[in-house]
Amino acid sequence: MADNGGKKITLKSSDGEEFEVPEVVAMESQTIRHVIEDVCAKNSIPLLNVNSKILSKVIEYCKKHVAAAEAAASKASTEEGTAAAASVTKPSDEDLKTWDAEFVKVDKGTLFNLILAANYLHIPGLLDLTCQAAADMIKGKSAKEIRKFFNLKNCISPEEEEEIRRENQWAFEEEKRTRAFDAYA
Amino acid sequence: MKRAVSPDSASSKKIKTEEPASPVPDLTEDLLYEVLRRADERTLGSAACVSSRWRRLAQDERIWESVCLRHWAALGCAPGQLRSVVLALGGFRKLYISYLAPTVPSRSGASRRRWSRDELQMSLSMLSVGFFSGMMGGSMGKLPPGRRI
Repeated sequence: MADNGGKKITLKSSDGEEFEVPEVVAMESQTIRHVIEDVCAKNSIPLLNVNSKILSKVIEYCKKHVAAAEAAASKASTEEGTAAAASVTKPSDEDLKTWDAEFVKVDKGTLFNLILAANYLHIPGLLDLTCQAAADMIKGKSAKEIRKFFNLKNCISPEEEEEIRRENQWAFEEEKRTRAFDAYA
Repeated sequence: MKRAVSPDSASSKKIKTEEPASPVPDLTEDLLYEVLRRADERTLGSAACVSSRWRRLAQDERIWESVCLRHWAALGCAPGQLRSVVLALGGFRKLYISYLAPTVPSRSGASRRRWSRDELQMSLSMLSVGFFSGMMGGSMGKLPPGRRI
Protein backbone atom coordinates (compact mmCIF):
# COMPACT_ATOMS: atom_id res chain seq x y z
CA MET A 1 0.00 0.00 0.00
CA ALA A 2 1.29 3.49 -0.77
CA ASP A 3 2.80 4.95 2.35
CA ASN A 4 2.77 8.54 1.18
CA GLY A 5 1.69 10.01 4.51
CA GLY A 6 -2.01 9.64 3.70
CA LYS A 7 -4.42 10.73 6.36
CA LYS A 8 -4.89 8.32 9.24
CA ILE A 9 -8.03 7.73 11.22
CA THR A 10 -8.32 6.13 14.64
CA LEU A 11 -11.07 3.59 15.16
CA LYS A 12 -11.98 2.74 18.72
CA SER A 13 -13.57 -0.62 19.47
CA SER A 14 -16.35 -1.15 22.03
CA ASP A 15 -13.80 -2.51 24.53
CA GLY A 16 -11.61 0.58 24.23
CA GLU A 17 -8.84 -0.62 21.92
CA GLU A 18 -7.66 1.90 19.31
CA PHE A 19 -6.70 1.05 15.75
CA GLU A 20 -4.96 3.61 13.55
CA VAL A 21 -5.67 2.97 9.89
CA PRO A 22 -5.25 4.91 6.64
CA GLU A 23 -8.40 6.86 5.87
CA VAL A 24 -8.85 5.06 2.55
CA VAL A 25 -9.04 1.71 4.39
CA ALA A 26 -11.55 3.05 6.93
CA MET A 27 -13.68 4.41 4.07
CA GLU A 28 -14.35 0.83 2.91
CA SER A 29 -17.05 1.11 5.55
CA GLN A 30 -19.83 3.33 4.25
CA THR A 31 -20.89 4.09 7.79
CA ILE A 32 -17.43 5.45 8.59
CA ARG A 33 -17.30 7.25 5.25
CA HIS A 34 -20.47 9.15 6.17
CA VAL A 35 -19.04 10.06 9.57
CA ILE A 36 -15.82 11.33 7.97
CA GLU A 37 -17.52 13.20 5.13
CA ASP A 38 -20.69 14.51 6.74
CA VAL A 39 -19.84 14.95 10.40
CA CYS A 40 -16.58 16.80 9.65
CA ALA A 41 -13.11 15.41 10.22
CA LYS A 42 -12.84 13.29 13.33
CA ASN A 43 -9.61 11.97 14.63
CA SER A 44 -11.10 9.12 16.60
CA ILE A 45 -14.28 7.31 15.70
CA PRO A 46 -15.84 5.17 18.42
CA LEU A 47 -17.52 1.99 17.18
CA LEU A 48 -19.74 0.95 20.04
CA ASN A 49 -21.04 -2.22 18.40
CA VAL A 50 -17.74 -3.80 17.40
CA ASN A 51 -15.22 -5.33 19.80
CA SER A 52 -11.47 -5.30 19.22
CA LYS A 53 -11.19 -8.88 18.00
CA ILE A 54 -13.80 -8.38 15.32
CA LEU A 55 -12.61 -4.88 14.43
CA SER A 56 -9.09 -6.13 13.81
CA LYS A 57 -10.50 -8.78 11.44
CA VAL A 58 -12.61 -6.17 9.65
CA ILE A 59 -9.59 -3.88 9.25
CA GLU A 60 -7.57 -6.82 7.92
CA TYR A 61 -10.28 -7.40 5.29
CA CYS A 62 -10.46 -3.73 4.30
CA LYS A 63 -6.67 -3.39 4.07
CA LYS A 64 -6.44 -6.45 1.83
CA HIS A 65 -9.20 -5.31 -0.49
CA VAL A 66 -7.93 -1.74 -0.76
CA ALA A 67 -4.43 -3.07 -1.54
CA ALA A 68 -5.82 -5.46 -4.16
CA ALA A 69 -7.83 -2.67 -5.80
CA GLU A 70 -4.78 -0.39 -5.85
CA ALA A 71 -2.59 -3.15 -7.31
CA ALA A 72 -5.16 -3.89 -10.02
CA ALA A 73 -5.54 -0.19 -10.85
CA SER A 74 -1.79 0.39 -11.11
CA LYS A 75 -1.30 -2.73 -13.26
CA ALA A 76 -4.12 -1.62 -15.55
CA SER A 77 -2.58 1.82 -15.99
CA THR A 78 0.93 0.51 -16.71
CA GLU A 79 -0.13 -2.21 -19.19
CA GLU A 80 -0.36 -0.91 -22.75
CA GLY A 81 -3.27 -2.91 -24.10
CA THR A 82 -6.55 -3.52 -22.28
CA ALA A 83 -6.35 -7.21 -23.27
CA ALA A 84 -2.98 -7.55 -21.56
CA ALA A 85 -4.35 -5.74 -18.50
CA ALA A 86 -7.34 -8.10 -18.31
CA SER A 87 -5.11 -11.18 -18.38
CA VAL A 88 -2.89 -9.70 -15.67
CA THR A 89 -5.75 -8.86 -13.28
CA LYS A 90 -7.22 -12.38 -13.45
CA PRO A 91 -4.55 -14.16 -11.34
CA SER A 92 -4.86 -11.46 -8.64
CA ASP A 93 -8.67 -11.96 -8.64
CA GLU A 94 -8.05 -15.64 -7.97
CA ASP A 95 -5.56 -14.80 -5.21
CA LEU A 96 -8.09 -12.48 -3.59
CA LYS A 97 -10.80 -15.16 -3.77
CA THR A 98 -8.42 -17.65 -2.14
CA TRP A 99 -7.58 -15.10 0.54
CA ASP A 100 -11.29 -14.42 1.12
CA ALA A 101 -11.99 -18.14 1.46
CA GLU A 102 -9.29 -18.48 4.11
CA PHE A 103 -10.49 -15.31 5.86
CA VAL A 104 -13.91 -16.80 6.62
CA LYS A 105 -12.52 -20.07 8.00
CA VAL A 106 -13.39 -19.03 11.52
CA ASP A 107 -15.63 -20.34 14.29
CA LYS A 108 -19.36 -19.72 14.12
CA GLY A 109 -19.34 -16.99 16.78
CA THR A 110 -16.65 -14.99 14.98
CA LEU A 111 -18.43 -15.42 11.65
CA PHE A 112 -21.76 -14.19 13.03
CA ASN A 113 -20.03 -11.26 14.70
CA LEU A 114 -18.38 -10.44 11.37
CA ILE A 115 -21.80 -10.49 9.70
CA LEU A 116 -23.16 -8.09 12.32
CA ALA A 117 -20.11 -5.85 12.00
CA ALA A 118 -20.24 -5.83 8.18
CA ASN A 119 -23.90 -4.83 8.41
CA TYR A 120 -23.34 -2.15 11.06
CA LEU A 121 -20.30 -0.71 9.27
CA HIS A 122 -21.97 -1.10 5.88
CA ILE A 123 -19.22 -2.99 4.04
CA PRO A 124 -21.08 -4.73 1.17
CA GLY A 125 -18.20 -7.01 0.08
CA LEU A 126 -17.63 -8.31 3.61
CA LEU A 127 -21.36 -8.79 4.20
CA ASP A 128 -21.64 -10.80 0.99
CA LEU A 129 -18.59 -12.91 1.85
CA THR A 130 -19.64 -13.69 5.42
CA CYS A 131 -23.32 -14.36 4.61
CA GLN A 132 -22.26 -16.70 1.80
CA ALA A 133 -19.96 -18.51 4.25
CA ALA A 134 -22.83 -18.90 6.72
CA ALA A 135 -25.13 -20.17 3.93
CA ASP A 136 -22.45 -22.70 2.96
CA MET A 137 -22.21 -23.82 6.60
CA ILE A 138 -25.90 -24.77 6.70
CA LYS A 139 -25.91 -26.31 3.22
CA GLY A 140 -27.59 -29.69 3.18
CA LYS A 141 -28.49 -29.55 6.88
CA SER A 142 -31.84 -30.77 8.12
CA ALA A 143 -34.20 -28.47 10.03
CA LYS A 144 -33.09 -30.04 13.32
CA GLU A 145 -29.43 -29.48 12.48
CA ILE A 146 -30.09 -25.86 11.44
CA ARG A 147 -31.90 -25.25 14.75
CA LYS A 148 -28.91 -26.65 16.62
CA PHE A 149 -26.53 -24.55 14.54
CA PHE A 150 -28.38 -21.32 15.37
CA ASN A 151 -29.12 -22.35 18.97
CA LEU A 152 -32.85 -22.15 18.38
CA LYS A 153 -35.44 -23.91 20.47
CA ASN A 154 -38.03 -25.96 18.68
CA CYS A 155 -41.09 -23.89 19.48
CA ILE A 156 -43.49 -24.75 16.70
CA SER A 157 -46.54 -26.87 17.39
CA PRO A 158 -46.58 -30.40 15.94
CA GLU A 159 -49.54 -29.45 13.71
CA GLU A 160 -47.71 -26.49 12.22
CA GLU A 161 -44.55 -28.55 11.83
CA GLU A 162 -46.51 -31.21 9.94
CA GLU A 163 -48.04 -28.55 7.69
CA ILE A 164 -44.66 -27.01 6.92
CA ARG A 165 -43.13 -30.40 6.21
CA ARG A 166 -45.92 -31.14 3.73
CA GLU A 167 -45.30 -27.80 2.03
CA ASN A 168 -41.63 -28.58 1.71
CA GLN A 169 -41.86 -32.29 0.97
CA TRP A 170 -40.20 -31.69 -2.39
CA ALA A 171 -36.89 -30.90 -0.65
CA PHE A 172 -36.92 -34.21 1.20
CA GLU A 173 -37.93 -36.13 -1.88
CA GLU A 174 -34.92 -34.72 -3.67
CA GLU A 175 -32.73 -35.77 -0.78
CA LYS A 176 -34.10 -39.32 -0.98
CA ARG A 177 -33.55 -39.31 -4.74
CA THR A 178 -29.93 -38.18 -4.30
CA ARG A 179 -29.21 -40.77 -1.62
CA ALA A 180 -30.82 -43.58 -3.62
CA PHE A 181 -28.87 -42.53 -6.68
CA ASP A 182 -25.62 -42.34 -4.78
CA ALA A 183 -26.20 -45.82 -3.34
CA TYR A 184 -26.13 -47.21 -6.87
CA ALA A 185 -23.37 -44.96 -8.15
CA MET B 1 -23.41 -35.27 11.59
CA LYS B 2 -20.62 -37.54 12.86
CA ARG B 3 -21.73 -40.28 15.20
CA ALA B 4 -18.47 -42.13 15.72
CA VAL B 5 -15.40 -40.47 17.15
CA SER B 6 -13.13 -39.89 14.21
CA PRO B 7 -9.34 -39.70 14.33
CA ASP B 8 -9.70 -36.12 13.10
CA SER B 9 -11.31 -35.01 16.36
CA ALA B 10 -7.99 -35.25 18.19
CA SER B 11 -6.21 -32.97 15.72
CA SER B 12 -9.16 -30.60 15.50
CA LYS B 13 -9.20 -30.36 19.31
CA LYS B 14 -5.53 -29.40 19.13
CA ILE B 15 -6.39 -26.47 16.84
CA LYS B 16 -9.39 -25.40 18.90
CA THR B 17 -7.47 -25.06 22.18
CA GLU B 18 -5.41 -22.24 20.64
CA GLU B 19 -8.36 -19.84 20.64
CA PRO B 20 -11.58 -20.18 22.62
CA ALA B 21 -14.67 -20.06 20.41
CA SER B 22 -16.53 -16.75 20.54
CA PRO B 23 -20.05 -16.67 21.96
CA VAL B 24 -22.56 -16.92 19.14
CA PRO B 25 -24.74 -13.80 18.76
CA ASP B 26 -28.27 -13.85 17.38
CA LEU B 27 -28.66 -12.60 13.85
CA THR B 28 -31.42 -10.10 13.14
CA GLU B 29 -34.15 -10.98 10.68
CA ASP B 30 -32.73 -8.93 7.84
CA LEU B 31 -29.35 -10.66 8.25
CA LEU B 32 -30.99 -14.09 8.38
CA TYR B 33 -32.64 -13.12 5.10
CA GLU B 34 -29.22 -12.23 3.67
CA VAL B 35 -27.89 -15.67 4.66
CA LEU B 36 -30.91 -17.53 3.27
CA ARG B 37 -30.75 -15.53 0.07
CA ARG B 38 -27.42 -17.23 -0.61
CA ALA B 39 -28.49 -20.73 0.34
CA ASP B 40 -29.25 -23.47 -2.18
CA GLU B 41 -32.80 -24.67 -2.84
CA ARG B 42 -32.74 -27.82 -0.73
CA THR B 43 -31.36 -25.92 2.26
CA LEU B 44 -34.21 -23.42 1.84
CA GLY B 45 -36.68 -26.29 2.05
CA SER B 46 -35.14 -27.51 5.34
CA ALA B 47 -34.82 -23.96 6.65
CA ALA B 48 -38.56 -23.41 6.19
CA CYS B 49 -39.18 -26.23 8.69
CA VAL B 50 -37.14 -24.63 11.47
CA SER B 51 -39.77 -22.24 12.86
CA SER B 52 -42.65 -19.97 11.76
CA ARG B 53 -40.27 -17.05 11.39
CA TRP B 54 -37.84 -19.10 9.31
CA ARG B 55 -40.72 -20.44 7.25
CA ARG B 56 -41.71 -16.89 6.37
CA LEU B 57 -38.11 -15.95 5.51
CA ALA B 58 -37.28 -19.10 3.55
CA GLN B 59 -40.46 -18.81 1.49
CA ASP B 60 -39.90 -15.16 0.59
CA GLU B 61 -40.64 -14.65 -3.10
CA ARG B 62 -37.56 -12.48 -3.61
CA ILE B 63 -35.31 -15.40 -2.66
CA TRP B 64 -37.12 -17.76 -5.00
CA GLU B 65 -37.00 -15.21 -7.77
CA SER B 66 -33.20 -15.23 -7.60
CA VAL B 67 -33.23 -19.06 -7.39
CA CYS B 68 -35.22 -19.20 -10.64
CA LEU B 69 -33.08 -16.54 -12.30
CA ARG B 70 -29.97 -18.62 -11.54
CA HIS B 71 -31.41 -21.36 -13.71
CA TRP B 72 -32.18 -19.23 -16.72
CA ALA B 73 -29.44 -18.15 -19.09
CA ALA B 74 -31.61 -15.56 -20.86
CA LEU B 75 -34.93 -14.08 -19.82
CA GLY B 76 -36.00 -12.53 -23.10
CA CYS B 77 -37.85 -9.82 -21.19
CA ALA B 78 -37.31 -7.29 -18.42
CA PRO B 79 -37.07 -8.85 -14.93
CA GLY B 80 -39.92 -6.61 -13.75
CA GLN B 81 -42.19 -7.94 -16.49
CA LEU B 82 -41.36 -11.52 -15.63
CA ARG B 83 -41.92 -10.80 -11.95
CA SER B 84 -45.43 -9.40 -12.43
CA VAL B 85 -46.45 -12.37 -14.59
CA VAL B 86 -45.01 -15.05 -12.33
CA LEU B 87 -46.35 -13.48 -9.12
CA ALA B 88 -49.82 -13.29 -10.67
CA LEU B 89 -49.67 -16.97 -11.61
CA GLY B 90 -48.60 -18.28 -8.23
CA GLY B 91 -45.07 -17.06 -7.61
CA PHE B 92 -41.48 -18.10 -8.15
CA ARG B 93 -41.44 -20.67 -5.39
CA LYS B 94 -44.36 -22.54 -6.93
CA LEU B 95 -42.71 -22.26 -10.34
CA TYR B 96 -39.47 -23.68 -9.03
CA ILE B 97 -40.96 -26.53 -7.03
CA SER B 98 -43.49 -27.62 -9.67
CA TYR B 99 -41.59 -27.18 -12.88
CA LEU B 100 -37.88 -26.55 -12.29
CA ALA B 101 -36.93 -28.78 -9.35
CA PRO B 102 -37.83 -32.07 -11.10
CA THR B 103 -35.41 -31.21 -13.89
CA VAL B 104 -32.44 -30.25 -11.72
CA PRO B 105 -29.79 -33.02 -11.56
CA SER B 106 -30.12 -34.66 -8.16
CA ARG B 107 -26.41 -35.30 -7.74
CA SER B 108 -24.80 -32.19 -6.33
CA GLY B 109 -21.62 -32.90 -8.28
CA ALA B 110 -23.37 -32.82 -11.64
CA SER B 111 -23.06 -29.54 -13.50
CA ARG B 112 -26.24 -27.57 -13.73
CA ARG B 113 -27.17 -26.62 -17.24
CA ARG B 114 -28.82 -23.22 -17.54
CA TRP B 115 -32.16 -23.11 -19.28
CA SER B 116 -32.65 -21.41 -22.61
CA ARG B 117 -35.39 -18.88 -23.28
CA ASP B 118 -37.63 -21.56 -24.85
CA GLU B 119 -37.41 -23.70 -21.75
CA LEU B 120 -38.23 -20.66 -19.63
CA GLN B 121 -41.29 -19.96 -21.80
CA MET B 122 -42.33 -23.60 -21.44
CA SER B 123 -42.14 -23.48 -17.66
CA LEU B 124 -44.16 -20.24 -17.64
CA SER B 125 -46.78 -21.83 -19.91
CA MET B 126 -47.08 -24.79 -17.58
CA LEU B 127 -47.39 -22.47 -14.61
CA SER B 128 -50.22 -20.57 -16.28
CA VAL B 129 -51.99 -23.79 -17.31
CA GLY B 130 -51.74 -24.97 -13.71
CA PHE B 131 -53.09 -21.64 -12.49
CA PHE B 132 -56.09 -21.55 -14.81
CA SER B 133 -56.99 -25.17 -14.30
CA GLY B 134 -57.01 -24.51 -10.58
CA MET B 135 -59.32 -21.54 -11.16
CA MET B 136 -61.75 -23.59 -13.15
CA GLY B 137 -61.80 -26.38 -10.57
CA GLY B 138 -60.06 -28.92 -12.77
CA SER B 139 -62.70 -28.73 -15.48
CA MET B 140 -60.01 -28.32 -18.12
CA GLY B 141 -59.24 -31.97 -17.86
CA LYS B 142 -56.78 -34.00 -15.91
CA LEU B 143 -53.32 -32.49 -15.83
CA PRO B 144 -50.16 -34.15 -14.59
CA PRO B 145 -50.24 -33.76 -10.82
CA GLY B 146 -47.99 -30.95 -9.74
CA ARG B 147 -46.23 -31.12 -6.43
CA ARG B 148 -48.24 -30.02 -3.46
CA ILE B 149 -47.22 -26.54 -2.42
